[in-house]
Amino acid sequence: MSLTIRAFCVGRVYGLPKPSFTYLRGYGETQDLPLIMYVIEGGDSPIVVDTGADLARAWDDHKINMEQTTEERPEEVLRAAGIDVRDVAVVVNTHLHWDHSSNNHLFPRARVLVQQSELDYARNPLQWHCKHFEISADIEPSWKRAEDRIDTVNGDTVIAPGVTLVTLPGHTPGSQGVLVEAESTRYLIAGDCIYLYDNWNGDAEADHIPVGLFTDLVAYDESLRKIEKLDCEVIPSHDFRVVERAIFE
Amino acid sequence: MTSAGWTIDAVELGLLPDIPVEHIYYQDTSGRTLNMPLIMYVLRSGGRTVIVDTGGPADEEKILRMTPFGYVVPESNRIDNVLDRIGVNPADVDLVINTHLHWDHCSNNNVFANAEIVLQEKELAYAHAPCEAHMPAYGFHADEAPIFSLAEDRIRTVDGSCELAPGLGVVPLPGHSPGSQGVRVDTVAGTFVITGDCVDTYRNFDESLPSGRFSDLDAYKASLAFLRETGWTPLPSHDPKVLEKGQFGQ
Repeated sequence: MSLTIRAFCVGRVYGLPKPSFTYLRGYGETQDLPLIMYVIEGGDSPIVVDTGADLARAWDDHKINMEQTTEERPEEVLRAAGIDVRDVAVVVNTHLHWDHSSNNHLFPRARVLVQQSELDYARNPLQWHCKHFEISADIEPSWKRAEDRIDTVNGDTVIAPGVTLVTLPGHTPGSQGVLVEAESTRYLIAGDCIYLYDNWNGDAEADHIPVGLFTDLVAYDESLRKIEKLDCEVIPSHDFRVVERAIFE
Repeated sequence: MTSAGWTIDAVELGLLPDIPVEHIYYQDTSGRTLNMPLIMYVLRSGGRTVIVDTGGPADEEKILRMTPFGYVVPESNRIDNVLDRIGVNPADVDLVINTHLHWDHCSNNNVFANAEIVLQEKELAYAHAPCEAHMPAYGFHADEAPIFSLAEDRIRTVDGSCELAPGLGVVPLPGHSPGSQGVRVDTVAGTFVITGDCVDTYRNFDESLPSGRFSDLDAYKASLAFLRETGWTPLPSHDPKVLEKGQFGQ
């Protein structure tokens, strides 16, 4: 059976400043985004990539205007899709920002695969990035809800036949994408290296547009060039068109 | 001449209007805008004059190539008139230091025809091959040569901290750009440091707050921490308060 990727909307966020999506572009504009959980099927067991945010913390702790219907809760999404959380042996976090890693604990038998450099940074981020990892005196980070099952990797790593983790530093030090050999196409679940198709497609000035949030822009640019060489179709992390398409095969 | 004898003049070479405040203060989402002066520093000791940073272009056509928003340089703030007003003959300047090679810091290097131009080796290397998102900052547009290449034959690079004259040295301050540097100036009123864009305004220094424009945030934080530890008095690159005082080290 060949590999397929399904993209599930596990919540939506409203009214973020556009320049945080597109570097130095869109001042005064806002943008809405979906939170997306991916499931790679067709292998020995389903692989989940990113697990979304925690609605209960969105406003209180992040001042983020988030909505999530009951049907969009990750456990409900999976139930409706016929996926038993106990069958998931591997969860991948593209990075440990709270909106990508808050529901790792829903998969009781899964190893959680994260780059070592990401785990190191998530434990001790620069002060301006603490909130994204929920490092604060008031709350325990959501990504620690399954901390005992985190397995770190270092660099590009094959994790299953046709499924490879590829490092894409820049947005965060240990950001990674997931390269998937599907029947028709090689796809890259790009994580926050690419929020929107607009980031990848660029504009008149630039081949690609970085997102506005990053730790190292030079490393980020090298990651974009790395993606160019992967000969793949990019799947962004926060584009509504991904949710509309839903299946990548 | 004593080794602690430099005086410092800060002069305006233009004003960038309506800059989104998040460019200047990282993660400031207030949506405000600020005006940022382009500042050239003139250092004098004994008979010698040294220039730190040379601002942006003054001609409308060149300005619009650098920034689509444009800005206006009044006649009195054109570099020739500024130098004339403060009594500097550009031909007598034998040393120009660029804190970094973004266009708003080096566009008039060619005015100082007899000067050696000193910058960090890392900055020159990066300026030749910046990442795509940084190409506009270095003045790359279409097939034109970048603005720093106007006087490139007179550039001398240094690698790391280095003394350039008695009481005058440079220190690396990476983060805003890979090879950003500060200029340490000893005066009778203490030691100053011309910070380049490591410190856009006094608020950045007081709060150890990076600007929103950087290549490497971790390096930037370390550079701000280094500056605080030195105890030197900062002279920011884009703060109007610098121009209000105008003279330092007297």
